[in-house]
Amino acid sequence: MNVASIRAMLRVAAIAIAIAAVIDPSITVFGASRPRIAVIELAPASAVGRSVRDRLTRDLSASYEIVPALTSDAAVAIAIGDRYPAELNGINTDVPEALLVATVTVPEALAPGVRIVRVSSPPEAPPGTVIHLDVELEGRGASRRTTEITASLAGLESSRASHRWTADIERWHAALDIVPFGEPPYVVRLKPDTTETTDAVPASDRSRPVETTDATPVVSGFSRTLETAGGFSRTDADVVVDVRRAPLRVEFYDPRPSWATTFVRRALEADARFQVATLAFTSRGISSQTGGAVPLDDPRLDGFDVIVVGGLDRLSAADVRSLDRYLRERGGAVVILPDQRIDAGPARDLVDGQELTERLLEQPAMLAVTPPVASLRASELLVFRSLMPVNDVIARVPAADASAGPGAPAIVSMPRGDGRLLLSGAMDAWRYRASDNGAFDRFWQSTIAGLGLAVPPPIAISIDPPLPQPGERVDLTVRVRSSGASSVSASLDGNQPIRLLPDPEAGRYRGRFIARETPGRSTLTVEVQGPQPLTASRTLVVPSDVRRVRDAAAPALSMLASSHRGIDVTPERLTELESFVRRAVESPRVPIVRHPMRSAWWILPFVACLSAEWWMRRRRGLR
Amino acid sequence: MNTESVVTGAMSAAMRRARWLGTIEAAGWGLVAGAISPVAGIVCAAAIGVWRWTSTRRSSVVVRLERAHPDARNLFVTADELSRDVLKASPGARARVFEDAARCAERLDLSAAFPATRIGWIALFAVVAWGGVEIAHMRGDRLPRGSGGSAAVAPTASGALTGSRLRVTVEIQPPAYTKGKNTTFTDPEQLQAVEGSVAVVSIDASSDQISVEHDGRARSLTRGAGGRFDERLQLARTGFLAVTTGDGARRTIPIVVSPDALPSVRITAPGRDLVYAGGNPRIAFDARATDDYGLRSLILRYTKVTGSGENFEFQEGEIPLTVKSANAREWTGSASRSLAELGLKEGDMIVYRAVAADERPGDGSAASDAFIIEISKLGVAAGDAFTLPEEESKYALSQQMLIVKTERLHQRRGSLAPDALAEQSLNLAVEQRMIRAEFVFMLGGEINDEEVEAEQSVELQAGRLQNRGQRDLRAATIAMSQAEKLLTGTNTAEALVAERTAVAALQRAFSRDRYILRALATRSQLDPSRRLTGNLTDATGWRRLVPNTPENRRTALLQDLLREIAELIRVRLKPDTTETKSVVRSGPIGALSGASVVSGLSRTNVLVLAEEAIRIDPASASLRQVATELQRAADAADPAVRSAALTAAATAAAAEARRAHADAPLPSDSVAPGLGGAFADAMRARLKASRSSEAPQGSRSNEAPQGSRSNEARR
Repeated sequence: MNVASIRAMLRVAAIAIAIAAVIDPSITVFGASRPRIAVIELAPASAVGRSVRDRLTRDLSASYEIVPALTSDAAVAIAIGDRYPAELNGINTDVPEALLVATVTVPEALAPGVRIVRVSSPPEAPPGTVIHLDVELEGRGASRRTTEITASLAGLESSRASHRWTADIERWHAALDIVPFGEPPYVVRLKPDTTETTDAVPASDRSRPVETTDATPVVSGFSRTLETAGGFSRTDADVVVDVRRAPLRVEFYDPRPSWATTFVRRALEADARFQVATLAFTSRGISSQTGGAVPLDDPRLDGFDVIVVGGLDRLSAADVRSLDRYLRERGGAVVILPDQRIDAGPARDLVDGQELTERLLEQPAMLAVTPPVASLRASELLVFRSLMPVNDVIARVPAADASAGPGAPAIVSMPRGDGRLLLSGAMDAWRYRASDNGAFDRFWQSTIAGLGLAVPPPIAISIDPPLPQPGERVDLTVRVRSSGASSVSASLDGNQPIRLLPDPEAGRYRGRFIARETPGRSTLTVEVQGPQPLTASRTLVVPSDVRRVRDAAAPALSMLASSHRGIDVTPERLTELESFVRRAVESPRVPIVRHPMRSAWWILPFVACLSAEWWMRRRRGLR
Repeated sequence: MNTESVVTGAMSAAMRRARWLGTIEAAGWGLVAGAISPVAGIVCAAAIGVWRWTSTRRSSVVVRLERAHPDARNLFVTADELSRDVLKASPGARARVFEDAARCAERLDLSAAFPATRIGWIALFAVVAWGGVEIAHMRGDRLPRGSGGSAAVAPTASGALTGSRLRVTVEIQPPAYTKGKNTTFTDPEQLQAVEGSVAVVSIDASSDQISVEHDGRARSLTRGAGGRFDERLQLARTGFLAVTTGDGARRTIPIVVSPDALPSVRITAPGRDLVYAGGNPRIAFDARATDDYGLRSLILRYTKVTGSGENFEFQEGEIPLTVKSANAREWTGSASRSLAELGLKEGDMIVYRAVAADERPGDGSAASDAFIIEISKLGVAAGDAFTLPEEESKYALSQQMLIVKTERLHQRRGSLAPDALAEQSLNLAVEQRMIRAEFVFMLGGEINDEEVEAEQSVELQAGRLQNRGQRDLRAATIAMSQAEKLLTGTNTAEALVAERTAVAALQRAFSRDRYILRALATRSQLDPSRRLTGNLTDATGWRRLVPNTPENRRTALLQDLLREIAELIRVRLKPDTTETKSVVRSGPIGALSGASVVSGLSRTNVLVLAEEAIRIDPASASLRQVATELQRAADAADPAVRSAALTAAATAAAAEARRAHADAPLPSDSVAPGLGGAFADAMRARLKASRSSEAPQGSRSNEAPQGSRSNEARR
């Protein structure tokens, strides 16, 4: 073949490619598609998790395209881990609702030891108030040992509790009261120390898991696992509690004089943590007023954290509507203190859905209360016959027969919109206010303080983690209660602006920043512009040594599967998972239309042909 | 002058100079060593003094003179030996030697033979040593203390780690009437005394400035004739004694003052209210009084009330008692008066009480409960104007007597024949029935059927305890019925339980913690002119001013105390290489190689903190313990003892702070309040829908839990 013919062939080939590209022919083929499956191993990685991932990849890759991360076109996601993930692919995002998710729950491999699995602490406490911590510890292989947990503030031991483990796997709830001192926020270190005890425990008692008390759902805190002698590990934990400087604003509203509210009011008026206002109608058109109290229909009512209402039989329908609005829209707390049955009238609407029975006792009963509040005595009671799951029982009438279960609820807190309604059925508790070293006063001071602290402030600032390490990324969440906010801005130490992005939830903004590089304190400031400019700040403690608790109370990973129409299996039942995936995601033979000329790779032969043909002509001296 | 005397005089002068210089040198070295400790200084001075003294013998001095004046060519040595007859020579030679020696002695320069320059160097060294000590003292009061050898200073009760001396001796002299003995304490951790005692304080201190503070008053003391500082303190209330010296030493001694309790008095007879329709009965009064130290008097005082309506007249009087004393602390008194002697007539009343006084100076009297004697033909007893002690009200009930009788029968149960037991039990059942009848009539009628009785009881409760007294009486009669049945069946054990239940119900019915309208006596009339009057249209609302609640200063002080203790512990805990590091110094102090230096714990700060702790509340046992432990920590040289004391102080302070702080707020478990509220709303809506679809069978069930009665059950 001579050079001219080669040149011609090259030219023709280039022209053919160009023409074919212009025509863009399509080709229809039939074949089995390969759906994409995301097999995600969640943190923390484990050997079992890796083996599960490898086996699934090996078994399913023949029929599916396996990817290690969640993609938008994945047909199925398989998550491997030991608990519900806070984030997938390193991004804190929601899993698409339509996505089919199956899970493989890998049992958590834990070394023998005692670890703090949950710490429940208040985010803030008023000045001069004890800080109550509920700590949940888990002992593995700790039978016949005694654990003593200490809570210390600034190196000074403030509280201590001990427990003797009787089973190989056991949970213990310790209650610790801390006396705050020094500069807030207070950083409390929890340290469990375990020692061997000598007396033996029957082996039968050690074989079963034991739960000593009920669990509590609120979680916050930090811990670090430490190895002790003999390979027996323990975890320390750090908890941060801020101080609430603003007083708790409480309004007492009495459509008629009521002993029930009078003595609660006196208890709060004697406590500097509260700013009490009263509006009591003593007769028609005659009222007694203190401390800037406002009628229930006044918009300024939203400035109060808690409303305490007595004399319910004189409550008007308008009053009830105002209270309902205050509960739902303001998110405030309302305490109703009946002194007689609530049979009818507008007040009945406040407790709609609750079945109340009047119970009169021969002698006053000491109510069983939720720690840490003090106990109450009462003989005239309104008890709840049934409770909704979302209601919290604060005090119960002790049951005559302990084996028959807990007594009837007498003081109950129930959610109402964004707020909380507390109904006290201890109608004549005020009669016994002098008993038990002023337990009546202490009960109501603690209870109403707790309700007030839970009411959202005008600007709520929350950070995660609450105790960041130097240079750590911190998520900031700002909730603004005012609906008229025109702009919200945040800054760290006054010179580092933080970008806030609005959330789908009204009034909520999220941001992210990096904690200071050196241990110390930073000030986080949030400013809200609007008709009434607001400012809030929070001190951020950046300690050099943080001990965090790993949340053992996180939801099970199976919840992710059940909420996305999948199944949850153990590593031993991967065959079931594979069958499920094959049933759920088929690979049918489907016609596929392809356009071969749309590939960018055609440019290479096209250019090559033209270049070769041009080079040959130049070698011949042609132009 | 004789040439021999000239020579010996010169030698004596040289010896005197040498001894003076040696003494000063010894004192100088002692001063240097005293920078470490006084004992070391004394030992050092004594050792050098002895050494120097031995080197100032005449022969040694003469040798030094020869060395200082070599041109004497051994003349002084020869003259010395001739004068001491150690050397024999002819008179001519002897005269010649002394003549030449005298000429040399005239040229003798003692300052060259015995120079004082070394004294200067030692003085300079002492200044440097003491300057170093003072600088270390000024720098946070962190003194180098202790040593690796015998120079260690044992901590004394006065805490004289700083070298200063402070020893406090206190003699407690209790009030004379208590007849207690004087007690002496030296450096006590805490003092306990009876109110009114005198504390004679004697302070032995190195400083000339002593300040004493007690009961909020501070004063300076001057050294007395015996070299000590003396002070007398009147102990009136719990507090503390703070002693501070001019050289920084301090001691705080908590003082717990126990008050002298007032006498306990009660009237044993009649011991109840009496109402007479008339006549002239004789009333015997018996009173009994006890006191913790001694009684001074026991009398019966009364107030005679005459008049009617709202116009009463009151007349005070006394009835002397014939006192019998078992001992100084326990007296009984008795007296007897007729109504005529008391001057009581129809409508009059006296309120009487026994009054006893103890021996304390001033008013140490206490009164018994008051009882009344009333003359009233109508037999109307007074209302609740005069208090009736609770225990007396118990005995006023005949049901209580029945219990006593039943208890006795129950105790003798084993020794009685069955027939006798049954008979006595039946008698008690009759008594029980009589008592019950009294109360049933009080309730308005006879009730035989217990079921009806029970129903009426529930009916009363349905009225929401509007008449709780009647309800309690009803409960008492029910219990009495049960007791009667059990006694009839000779079941004394269970009958006792029922009888006691009845008494408890009766006590509730008549208890004084309930609002009971006082019944006016029939002769008392209301005075309308003294009632409230006014125009209703003028009534308006009002604004009440609530006084500001003071801040809880105690919690703030306790928080400060905790913070300071935490700081002390933190200083102790932080890595401090000086805690155990051995140091070697040059010079005289360097001889004490291995001397340890204490950590950064400031002893003065600890003592000040101890004083602050007890100032918060001297009456608090916890804070007294804090002060004691902190002082123990300050005095301790052993780190382990110091650590234990600081820990104990922290624990006591935390316990006190826990009591001073408000209880923790109720924890809020609401993670997502909005979600919870929506969920509750949905459940309520579903509940309402399901109810509306059901037949209206009554919204409330008849559930009546055990142990309670509900008016729902009645419905």
